[in-house]
Amino acid sequence: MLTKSSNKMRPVYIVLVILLLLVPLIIRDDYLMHLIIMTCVWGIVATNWNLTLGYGGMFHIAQLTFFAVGGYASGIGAVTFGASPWLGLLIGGAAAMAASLVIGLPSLRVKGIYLILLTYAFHNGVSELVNHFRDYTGGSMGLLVPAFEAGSVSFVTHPSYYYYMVLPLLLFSIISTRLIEKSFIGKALMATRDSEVLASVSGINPYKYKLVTFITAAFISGIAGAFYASYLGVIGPEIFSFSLIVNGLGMIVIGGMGTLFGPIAGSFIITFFMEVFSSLEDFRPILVGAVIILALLYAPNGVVNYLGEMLAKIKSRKLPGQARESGE
Amino acid sequence: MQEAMPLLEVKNVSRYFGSLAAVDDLSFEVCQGEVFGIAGPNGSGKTTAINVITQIIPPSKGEIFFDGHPIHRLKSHDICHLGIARTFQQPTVFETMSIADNISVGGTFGKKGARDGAAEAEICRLLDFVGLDKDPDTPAKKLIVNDKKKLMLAVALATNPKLLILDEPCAGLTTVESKEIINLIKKVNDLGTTVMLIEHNMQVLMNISDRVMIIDHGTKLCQGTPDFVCCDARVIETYLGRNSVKGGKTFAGAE
Ligand SMILES: Nc1ncnc2c1ncn2[C@@H]1O[C@H](COP(=O)(O)OP(=O)(O)OP(=O)(O)O)[C@@H](O)[C@H]1O
Ligand SMILES: [Mg+2]
Repeated sequence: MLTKSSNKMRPVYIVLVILLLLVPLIIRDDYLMHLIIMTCVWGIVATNWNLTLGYGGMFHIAQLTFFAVGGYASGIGAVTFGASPWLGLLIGGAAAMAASLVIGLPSLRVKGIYLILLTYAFHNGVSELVNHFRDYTGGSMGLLVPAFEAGSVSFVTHPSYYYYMVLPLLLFSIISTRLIEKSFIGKALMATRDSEVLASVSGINPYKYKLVTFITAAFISGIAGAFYASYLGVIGPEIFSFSLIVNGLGMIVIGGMGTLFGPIAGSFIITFFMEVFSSLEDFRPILVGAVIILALLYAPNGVVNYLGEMLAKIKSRKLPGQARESGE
Repeated sequence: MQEAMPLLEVKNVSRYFGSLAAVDDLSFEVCQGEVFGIAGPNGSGKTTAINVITQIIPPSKGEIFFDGHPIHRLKSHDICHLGIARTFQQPTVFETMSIADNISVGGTFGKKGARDGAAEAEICRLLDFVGLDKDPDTPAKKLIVNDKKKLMLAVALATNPKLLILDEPCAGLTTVESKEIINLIKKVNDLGTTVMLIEHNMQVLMNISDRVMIIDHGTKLCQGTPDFVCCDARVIETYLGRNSVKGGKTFAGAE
């Protein structure tokens, strides 16, 4: 299943994973660890969003609905039914999956602007539900969600524990994206993105493959939402805010739509950007918008592709004998 | 060849766009093994007719049967699985995918249940067959228009169709390139695939088709052997007459 090029890259990936595992040993600063954990959380959301949006060409905003549903489901599970946050992860994933069916079955029949509008309507609908059932959701106050604990050890004072929870989920997102991309599902998905009409006369049922990836991506985002709620200790209606949608889309666009590592690079950039400019408060969304525009102007295929092209240019300069590739 | 059983039966099919009847109560049959040619003026509903057959656009009225199955309520991918493949008037390929991946889409999904993909040998055979002499790893978006058309044909053939529908495969090509495509179509037909061909160039159409249908305003004007159709007064008046001024070649395909 793996191609030649990914075989060549395998040692690089292994070293990268080892480095990632060592991060908590290198970074001793709790605040920095917090930012890294948040980068991973948003990296999971963006990676799964990118699976449907970048590879599948489905322009939707439901990924944040799934994230919110996951967070609220695990929160309600803990507060109302006394479920542990660990079980909450599963509850969050399952609830997000159920939501993806409800949203996906009607919405994925349409495309483009209709799909964006329809999923945005669902997003607001879920937000309204949360507001309506305030006995369970805490309304505008939100819900206080218990922290993860193992035995008698609470994770609260141990950022590294959270990191070791969220990292596998991020790696799982990357690997599942890669596996789907290389499988017949990915082929059907990308063919549909390129030309839905040609795909369907070539024997592909576009709706089926869109729905399958939509649900898969929802499940992982739901788990991430449950993790997020328990990690921050609270889940509130801000999770439905428009600026989060812009941030999430920004991560994908800035990092590189339809690339494996783009969304994670984008998450890193946006998460740290939001922190660095935290004193600017309400002006941040405008700044994020400006960064997205700059990225679209100077690296329209995302920073990952941009860096790749730069590397290729540097390489070709080092080999003056070889013909330089024409600049694209 | 005319006595052969019909592979495709189109019965009283209409398709409206608002008040415009792009296809208007059209009926015809395509027989097993033949090359069935379709011609008609610009906007006469040729493309809409095959869009309706392949369910890119559902018919407003009428029935369509393929190989005995009613297909007018099926989805495009089911129709592909039954054995109808088609190309488009505009060269359409999977732009971001490589040549090999383009073809393997047809091989992987063209038959119901098959998921193992087209083998490398099969991809090379098809590339060779359509005369596309390019590295299979080339991204499709790098191809020139003519090569995209060949690739589009290879994708259609990869589904191993019983009926291949071609929408103006020669439009915009030079005479030499057209000849190449015509020979290819003959080769496909010789190997047992029934062909339905929309073509503006009457010389080409008359030369390759077993039977020809002329449509105008979405309805059948005339149908029969090439010789018969050429002598039809209405055809000469509405179609041939006008085109013969330009030596039988129109440039309608270049939109
Ligand atoms: N999707 C559509 N929506 C509205 N009108 C359409 C649509 N598709 C086709 N038409 C109209 O239907 C009529 C038939 O168009 P069609 O493309 O089938 O003609 P054609 O015979 O293929 O012409 P050409 O020789 O130019 O390819 C035209 O008047 C066209 O404008
Ligand atoms: Mg046409």
